[in-house]
Parts: sequence; structure tokens; C-alpha cells
Amino acid sequence: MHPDQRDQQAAFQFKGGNLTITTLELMTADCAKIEQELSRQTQKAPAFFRQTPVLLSFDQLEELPVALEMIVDVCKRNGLIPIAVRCGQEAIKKSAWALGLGWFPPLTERRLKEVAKDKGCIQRLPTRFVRGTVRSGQQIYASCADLVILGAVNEGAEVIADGNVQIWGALRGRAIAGAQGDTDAKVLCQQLRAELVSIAGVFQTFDACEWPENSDLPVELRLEDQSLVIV
Amino acid sequence: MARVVVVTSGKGGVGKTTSCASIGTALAMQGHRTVLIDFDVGLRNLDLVMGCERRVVYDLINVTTGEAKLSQALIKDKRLDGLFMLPASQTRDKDALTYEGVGEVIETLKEEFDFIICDSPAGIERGAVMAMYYADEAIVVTNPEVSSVRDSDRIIGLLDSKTRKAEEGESVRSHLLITRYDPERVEHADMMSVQDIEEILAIPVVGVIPESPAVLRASNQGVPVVHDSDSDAGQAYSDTVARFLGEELPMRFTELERKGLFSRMFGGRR
Ligand SMILES: Nc1ncnc2c1ncn2[C@@H]1O[C@H](COP(=O)(O)OP(=O)(O)OP(=O)(O)O)[C@@H](O)[C@H]1O
Ligand SMILES: [Mg+2]
Repeated sequence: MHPDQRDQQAAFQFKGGNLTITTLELMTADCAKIEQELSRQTQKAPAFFRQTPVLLSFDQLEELPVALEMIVDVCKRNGLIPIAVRCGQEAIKKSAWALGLGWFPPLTERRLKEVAKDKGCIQRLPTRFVRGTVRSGQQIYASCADLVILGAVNEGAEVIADGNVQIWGALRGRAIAGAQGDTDAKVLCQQLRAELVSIAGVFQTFDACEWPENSDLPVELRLEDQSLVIV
Repeated sequence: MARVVVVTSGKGGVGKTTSCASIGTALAMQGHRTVLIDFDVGLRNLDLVMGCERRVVYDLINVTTGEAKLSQALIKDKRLDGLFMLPASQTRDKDALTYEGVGEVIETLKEEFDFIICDSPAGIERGAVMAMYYADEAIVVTNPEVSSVRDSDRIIGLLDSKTRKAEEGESVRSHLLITRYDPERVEHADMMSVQDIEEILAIPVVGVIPESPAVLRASNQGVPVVHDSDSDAGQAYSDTVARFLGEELPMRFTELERKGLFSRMFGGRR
């Protein structure tokens, strides 16, 4: 590399961060119905419908096929700018990409919330121990028990317990404690680099650069007043 | 006892075939009888890197289906005695390979060879699982970037669960080979360091191969880069094989060389 190339300013920086965005949760794929409803809402709150960016969510929708292009046009005619879709259906994802829209995987929230309602697991079974690294693509579940991982949980791996989850190495993937709704459950790990932590259905995702202070040290995650705290 | 070694990665284009060719060659240089099997059906290119593409008559699938004898399909290396390769089919359907067929071929090869090196296709599908199924050991090839490391992690998970060794309750001994390593880009935090990768994958590092123009030069000529003993990549592959055979050697080419006036004047690295 030429020595003075290095001194040049970078053209850009990537930044992570959370952004609040309006979601259009579609209950039907019928464009006429969507259009009707949108124009009704526009009359109620015209200010809202001035080039507002929205996320089109198909989480609730089971019917297929979906004419995404037409739905997008309906939105645009009514002052909304679809920027991305959220869905599990491969076909919708493909059309989103073809239309130049972003794609997000469906929310896991619902699944997590559903299990939280069930308080099935009062009697605990013996702790489940797993020796070694839990790797991308692997999922481990300790039913009605605590789970102890004698190693790290890597990105793309998921460890789940109805009781506590204890990780002797770094947590880089997903850890779910109190999967049946035990709000006293905890997640313990040696280093917090998690993608997601959930306790009794209350979950938090972590943006890669925003690690809480001291997350290189052993940490405990638990619930306090329905929200997740890191100790 | 013959050792069956799979060279695998998950992610494509990280240097499996390049590594296979050089590792096999270096083993043969040390007098070990070695055979390379190309499992990348449809995309065979181990024969190109080995420089024997014009001598392919039969392939692995012909042998497993009984259309050819193993001895007819094996191609002897032009430079080294005791080095052979079994090419992949370029025309047949991937699903033509069966576990039984491959198992028989490997059992037969075990009688003749010290090392059986399997070049895996990319991905985590049937082809990759087929290539690793009979392995005693694995060389997991990773580039110093997040996506490659993650795919390797996935592959190590498969080695721990989808192989015959795993089914028998044993484990496949896995070695980490980091290729296309560029200390300068590591220094600028564009790439992951050896330490970072080792910490995540939690298997021992058997070698680090630097990013090097010698690799492309060698594969264009159909001569595995380990023959180019003046090149950094060639030396790194020799070191790798020495470590693989149990020698203890320090890692080379992992630190940024502070370029002196001399190398700057003459264009630096070879
Ligand atoms: N150390 C290196 N320095 C520079 N280039 C390299 C190095 N190692 C591999 N390459 C180049 O990277 C490309 C991919 O290498 P190779 O074919 O060995 O990868 P592969 O993992 O076998 O790919 P595939 O998944 O497609 O089978 C080739 O062009 C090769 O020359
Ligand atoms: Mg290859």
C-alpha cells in the first residue's frame, strides 16, 4: 500500500443502532381491502401519511399467494414508503428482493411469548451438562431442568432451559432461560457477546457493537419488573 | 494404519482444494503413500491444481458403480512416486455417489495408502457430509473473516455428529488451517486474528497460510504451491504438514513485517 493512502479519510463508517419504524402488520393480502382501509386511515390522520417509511410484516398472514408488488403500489399511492418486508415465506422474500426491498426474518417474539404463558414445569429434573463448544446450527434444550455448558455457545447456536442457563465460556449465540415461564430463571456466562438472551419470554437482542460495560467479565442476566437486567 | 483425512470448510472458495493439493504433495514428498479424492462432483478442479486434468479417464463415480476398476481410475502424479488422485465426475449427478460405494472405495484404498485425503465440496449438504463421513481426522479450512469462521463452526458441529466416528461414539480429530491470512489487514482490524479464530472454533491450529500471489501462479501452472519452496505459502504448507505429522514448529507469516527501505524499493513481498 502506498504510504499516504493510509492517511486518507474513510469514505464512510458502518454504524449499528436501533431505529423505531412503523410496521404495517397485514391481516389480508387482498389489495382492495388494504387500499380501502388505508384511505380511511389517511382521512383520519393525514399528517402520518406523508412519505412515511414502513415495514411490511406478513407474520400474521397465512394466505398465499401474495402480490407484493401490488401491495407496495397501494402503499405508495397512500403516502407510505415500504422499505422492507418481514416474513417467513420464501416467495415473499424473493419478490421483496426483486423489488429492491430489504428482508427481515419473522419475529420470534410470538413463539417466546407463547411459551411464557405456560407455567408447566415446577418440578425440576437433574441438571443437564454439555461438555465442549455448542456450535453454529446446534440447539440444546434442557427440559424442566437447568442447563450447564462447559464451553462456549457460538454465534448461530441456541441453548434453552426451562430452568437456568449457565455457560462457562463466552455466550456468542442465543440463550433462553425459563422457557416455560419461570421468571426467576437466570442466564450466567463468562463473557457476553450474545445475539439474544431471553428469560421467561422477555428477550433482548444485542447490536454487535453495543456491549454493556464489563461484559468481558462474568455476568448474570435476570428479570426485574418484567425487564431484563445485566448484573 | 491408514489415516482418512477430510479437508472441509463450509464456506466456498476458502482454499480447500489448494490445501488438499499441497498437503497431499508434502506428505508424498516425505515418503508417505498418499491418495487425494475429489468429492466436488460437477466442479472437479483438484485435477487442475494437480496438473493432471488431461489424464482423467475414469472418476470416483465410475468406480463406485463398477464401471471402472479402482486401479484404472487412479492417476499417478507426474512428479512424485507414491502420490495418486481419484478425480470427481464432471458430468454425473451428485446423487450418484452412495455411502456404501464410497465406503468400499475407501476401504480398498486403506490397504494401499498411508493417507487418504478427501477434498470436500463447499456447503453443508449431502456432498460435504459424504466427504467427511469416513474421516478419522479433519482439516478445517477457514479464512480470517466472520462468515468463514461461522461456517467452519457449523462444519465442526457436523464432524461431531454426522460422521461414522461420531456414530460410533468417537470423535474426528480436527485441525484448524487458516488460509489467505493477511497480517496487514488483521492489524487494521479488517480481518480476524489467529487468536480470535482459535478462541471461537476451539480446535488446535495446524497452520496459517498467508495470502500469496504464489498460490494463483502455482495453480495456473498445475503445480501445487508447496513445490515452490521459495514462496511464503509453499513454506507455510510444508510447516503445516510437519505439524500435522506431530512436529512442533512456531507459526510463521502471521506477524506484519515492518518493511525496510530495501523491500519497499523492490516491491516487497514475493
Ligand atoms: N493463500 C492464498 N493466497 C492467495 N490466493 C489463494 C490462497 N489460497 C487459495 N487462494 C485462491 O482462492 C481461490 C479458491 O481456492 P480453492 O479453489 O482452493 O478453494 P476451495 O475452498 O477449494 O473452493 P470451492 O469451495 O469452490 O471448492 C483460488 O483462486 C485460489 O487460487
Ligand atoms: Mg474446491
